[in-house]
Amino acid sequence: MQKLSEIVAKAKSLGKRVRIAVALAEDTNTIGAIRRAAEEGFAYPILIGDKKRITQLLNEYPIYSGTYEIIDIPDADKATREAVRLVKAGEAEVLMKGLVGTDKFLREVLSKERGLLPPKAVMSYTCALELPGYSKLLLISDTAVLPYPDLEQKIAMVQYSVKMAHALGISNPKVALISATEKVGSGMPNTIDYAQICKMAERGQIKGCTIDGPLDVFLACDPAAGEIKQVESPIAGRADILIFPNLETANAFYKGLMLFAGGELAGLIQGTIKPVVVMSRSESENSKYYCIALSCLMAEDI
Amino acid sequence: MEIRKLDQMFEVLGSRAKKRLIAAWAIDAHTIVAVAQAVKMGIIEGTLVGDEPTIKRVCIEHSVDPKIFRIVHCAGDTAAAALAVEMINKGEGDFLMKGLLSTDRYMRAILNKERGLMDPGAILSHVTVAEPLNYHKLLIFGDVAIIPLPDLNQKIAITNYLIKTAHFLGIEQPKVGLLAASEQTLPKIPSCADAAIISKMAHRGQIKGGIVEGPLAMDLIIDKESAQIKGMNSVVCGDADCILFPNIEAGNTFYKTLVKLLKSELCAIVMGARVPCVLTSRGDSEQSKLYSIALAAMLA
Repeated sequence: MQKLSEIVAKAKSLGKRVRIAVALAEDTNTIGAIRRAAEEGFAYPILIGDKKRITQLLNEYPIYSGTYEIIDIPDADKATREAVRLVKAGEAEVLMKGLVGTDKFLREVLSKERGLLPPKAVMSYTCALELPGYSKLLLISDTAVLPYPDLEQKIAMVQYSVKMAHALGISNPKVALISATEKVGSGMPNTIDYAQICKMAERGQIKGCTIDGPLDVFLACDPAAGEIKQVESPIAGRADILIFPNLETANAFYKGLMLFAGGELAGLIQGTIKPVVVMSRSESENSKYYCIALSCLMAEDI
Repeated sequence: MEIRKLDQMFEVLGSRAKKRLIAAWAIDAHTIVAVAQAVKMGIIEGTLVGDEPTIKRVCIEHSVDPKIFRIVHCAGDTAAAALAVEMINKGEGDFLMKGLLSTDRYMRAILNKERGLMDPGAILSHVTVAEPLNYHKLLIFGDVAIIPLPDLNQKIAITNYLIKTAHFLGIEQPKVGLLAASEQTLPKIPSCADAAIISKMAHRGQIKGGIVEGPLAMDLIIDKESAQIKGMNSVVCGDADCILFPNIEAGNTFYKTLVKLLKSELCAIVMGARVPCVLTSRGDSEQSKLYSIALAAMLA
């Protein structure tokens, strides 16, 4: 897969409408993206919030085909709580954030009693990047949730990203564990974690992928680099997934690519019982639309 | 020539220029007889540092001709150790051996910052070479005697010593098994985690000269059938030349089990100093002491 639009095609090919609970569906961005998904026939929106406001927005962005629901709960807290409840109860398969603040939204997702995270599960964020300079989609983690993932969290990041790759039809994704160097040690503690993850994969403790690391981004994504640096790696410059050592690095990597290289992305939260779509207001409507398509694929996969 | 039996070392040494041993406080029969045997076999030259009248008396008591040695008189054990080390540093000998003095005093002479045998940052460790009765080759392992709970850096140093020892014994690409309780990488078991890290470092060429695999449980290291049953296809499995032990208890127990229960021959040296150091204990057999001298001569 090379383009995010292929995710949409794949979501459509599921032949069903995934039920998406939208917490406080009261902004044009959210409504704009979700209506496209409904129009294309792969989403069934459950719009929660102030009914008057939602109806007003739907007058501007009408949903002609398919059906949708509106649940009238004007209070942001209560609307969020209801959206999470619907997912937990199995009445919706994807949770999506609308106009509610991210903090408030995630607090409800993480609530011990009412939330969507199983006990001890790691919550993490993976996005799929479409890059003009790369021959396929590049999945990266974690750009948004885990600031300094420890070993266990890194393993979860790998597993979630691999799961996403599988949902995208990449059966044996190549996972590169990113550092500044391919050497183990060198005063960089993350490389120590990486060595262990590699061995775990070798021992069959992590399945469904080919892993190597530490690798720098060149060795991970440029087939010529391995030869130049004389590093033999099964990734061979054709990584499908990049696991970053910390959030700052991952975040700077994708934002740099969006800004300077015309990249586009779709991402979501994993670790929860169902996919959770959290988009910042600065993301394009296109990106949001792709996020919804991706979440529909992942909901199916779970 | 690849050494597959300990006594093959004598053959190799016999064809080379003799290495010069310096024995510190060599006033006891155990030391003198072992050195005398090696000298008589023509594999080394021996210098005994210690109280000369005592040395001569012990020689006569054990029918050893004192003239086969160079004897350097020194009245006390600590002084003798310091003098032996000084002679090594002056280039008068190629390797060191402990006599009757305590291990503690011997080591202190080696470790002395100004006058000892250590380069800055060097790690001193103990390497054993055993000839287990029902194994098809020699087994080189450590550390069973010096570093109680090696950290990652020390384990890397020990791994390099094992590989180096194997090279000196003519094993070109030694297979090194990194011992742990399981072949799984269990982050909560430090031996598993360290083994995974060292194994990856070897993949990256940060440890050279051998094939390094771990974590592996003991059965996978020395028994091919166990490895096959468990689906492990590393070339190290069942054919290891070297074993890195995660701690001294495991290593020491293995060593003593080989000697006492399995009646296997073995020998050992201390590595990490500027020259190999022989550190036999009085409990070691005559044969084992002779092998240890030969091993040090091989590496000197």
